[in-house]
Amino acid sequence: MQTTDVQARVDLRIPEGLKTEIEAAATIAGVSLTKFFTDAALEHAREVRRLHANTSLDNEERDAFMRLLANPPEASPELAKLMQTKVQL
Amino acid sequence: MADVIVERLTKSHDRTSFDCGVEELNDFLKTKARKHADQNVSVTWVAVERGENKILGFITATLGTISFDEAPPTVTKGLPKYPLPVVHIGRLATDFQFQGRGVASLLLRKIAEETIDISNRIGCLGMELVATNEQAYQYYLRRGFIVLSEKNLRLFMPVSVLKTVDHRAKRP
Repeated sequence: MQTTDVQARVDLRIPEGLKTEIEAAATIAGVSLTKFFTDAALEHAREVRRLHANTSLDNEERDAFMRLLANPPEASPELAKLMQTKVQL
Repeated sequence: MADVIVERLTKSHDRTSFDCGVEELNDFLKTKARKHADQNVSVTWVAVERGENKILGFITATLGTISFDEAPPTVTKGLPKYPLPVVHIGRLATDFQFQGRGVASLLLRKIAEETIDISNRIGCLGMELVATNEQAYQYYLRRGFIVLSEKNLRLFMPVSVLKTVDHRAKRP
């Protein structure tokens, strides 16, 4: 994901006890609360997106996908080779 | 020389010694892969030397869908509007000691063949995955995967293309 220098604000309302616990962990890790939150949430967000088995295409991607289904390319030599893969150790 | 075969992950495989260099993938194999298979959420296949239990690589597949932010115009030539079925490859990893020997290709071949079988029996459009890094992205592109979505490295291989290079003996 690309990042820009433009800053945005995230407001969270969580139980005080949780905040204290997270702050304590951030202190141990030696990073700011913002960095601690961001790193943890970003890691989780990327994981969720990556694993998500459902793809949603925007209109441009959708049209390209439709063209692909209507006119599939010929299999590349590399793909033909992949489909004959044998491995010996 | 021993043949490397692909089989479903079972409890007899040695999951603890597997190391692909990515902690999250190692951890998935050790703690989640079998659980997910037991729960029928996804199936993990492993590459092993015939008769051995050392895991050389693994691949995890499940069912996925492709849907559209906006319903397509009439150009779709009769494709239904509901989400379209695909095989989704959630994870693919090779133990670092065995990289560069075709283990990943062997695992991909297995899922490609499963995709063909599923399309013949139930119907699906192809196999789909998200490349986790640029190197993997290039690997799939070289093998003819097509970019579905550039913004998240999501790639696709139509089953119609796979069927033209299916080298298995015809099944009864």
